[in-house]
Amino acid sequence: MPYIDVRDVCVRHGKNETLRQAGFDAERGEIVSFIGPSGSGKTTFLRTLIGLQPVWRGQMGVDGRIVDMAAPASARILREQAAIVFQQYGLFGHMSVLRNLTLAPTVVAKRSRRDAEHEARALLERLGLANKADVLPADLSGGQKQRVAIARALMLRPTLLLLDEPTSALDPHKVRDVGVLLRDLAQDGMTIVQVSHAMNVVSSLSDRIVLLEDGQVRAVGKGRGCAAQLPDIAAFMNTHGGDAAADPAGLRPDPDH
Amino acid sequence: MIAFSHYDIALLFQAMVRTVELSLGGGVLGIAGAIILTALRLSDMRGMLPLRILAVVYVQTIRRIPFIVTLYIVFFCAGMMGLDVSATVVAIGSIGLIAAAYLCEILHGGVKTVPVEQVEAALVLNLPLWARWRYVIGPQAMSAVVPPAIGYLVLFIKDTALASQIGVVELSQAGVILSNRGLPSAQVFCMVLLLYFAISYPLTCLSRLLEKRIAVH
Repeated sequence: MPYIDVRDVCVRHGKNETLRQAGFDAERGEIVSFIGPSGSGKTTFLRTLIGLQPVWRGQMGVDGRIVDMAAPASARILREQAAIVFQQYGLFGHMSVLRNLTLAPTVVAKRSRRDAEHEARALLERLGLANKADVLPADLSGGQKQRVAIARALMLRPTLLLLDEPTSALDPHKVRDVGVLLRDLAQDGMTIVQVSHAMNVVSSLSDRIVLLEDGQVRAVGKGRGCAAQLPDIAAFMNTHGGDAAADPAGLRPDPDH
Repeated sequence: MIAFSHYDIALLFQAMVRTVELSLGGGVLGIAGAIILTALRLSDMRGMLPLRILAVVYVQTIRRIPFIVTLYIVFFCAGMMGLDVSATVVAIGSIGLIAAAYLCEILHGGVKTVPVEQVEAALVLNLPLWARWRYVIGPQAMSAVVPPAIGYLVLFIKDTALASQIGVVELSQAGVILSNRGLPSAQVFCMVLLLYFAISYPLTCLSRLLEKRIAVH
């Protein structure tokens, strides 16, 4: 049984079905990318995985533990195992970077403030933000805000990290930095699901690619270099400013493998 | 300068206390009512929909009726129901009903200034409801709520003068009584003016203090 196993997710708005029997699976430490035209349900699908989008039906298995996503109590369980980084980050504007990171661990997980701050500072240092701990989010650049948002998500020690368009608000040269960071996190065993429009990053980074169209999964590519194997995915990527065949963003540690 | 007699001063003083009572009582009722109304308007539980609609209708209706009309409605309704309450209580009740509607609009608007993504971020961090309000929504909404709310409360202190219409002897009515007794009207009402100022000025100071404290955060 796969480590992450999402099946049969249906979302309805009135009579409209915005998501129809969507599903995917992933092993631990893999990077999954949702791609597809706008309005295809990528972000909706991502939001169902953390209980921000009510579903009509659907189940999610994480490491053999099955959650009925349509059950009212599922949101809390989903949020215990996953964390999300929003497109606009959603940092708390009136709190320092450090407090943004320690709020949930101290309030929800009841950890001591000292303990949480210690871990938060270590995490910030790892992400190159050691000197930003006491700064307010408004004084950070876009790339720094995103790293803080990622750090805040990691403080929850999630098994699954979700990212909604992590590269859309960044300068082109920052896009590569995020890619490297995500790859490093995945190598440490974090399973990552992202929605992305940056096709070069997608084809360089992804272990699995899920192509959505009209709320349905049209194609799933598995394994490195999967973008080129499936004609649907390759065609979509090539028409959306990407290169399915190679490692265009230069993110593979072993490009010749 | 004509000297006021002890009785005149006592009347003015009592009337000032009455105005403070009306403002304070109405203000406290209004704040409490506004919090309840705002909570209803923001509730997203399905069963709450009728109450939510009721809250919106209440706020939008009250804000479109002149104060004096609401006052008469409450006054005559209390009479019809045979409630044996003083005019002051009726006035405090009406002021509270009106203040609740206005303050609800300010409160609701302030809460809406907190970006949706921050509210969702608090949600997915699994913060319980009280913690979302205590740490994320409350502090940020406050900076958008406190200045207009206090501005409104200052304005509404002078609206309490309308309570004289149902027989409450408050500050402005005391001025009318004294001038009817033959005291020089200009001086009487200058006195009334100073007393209104004395009531509302501290509130303005409080507002400045709060704004500074919010800015520091």
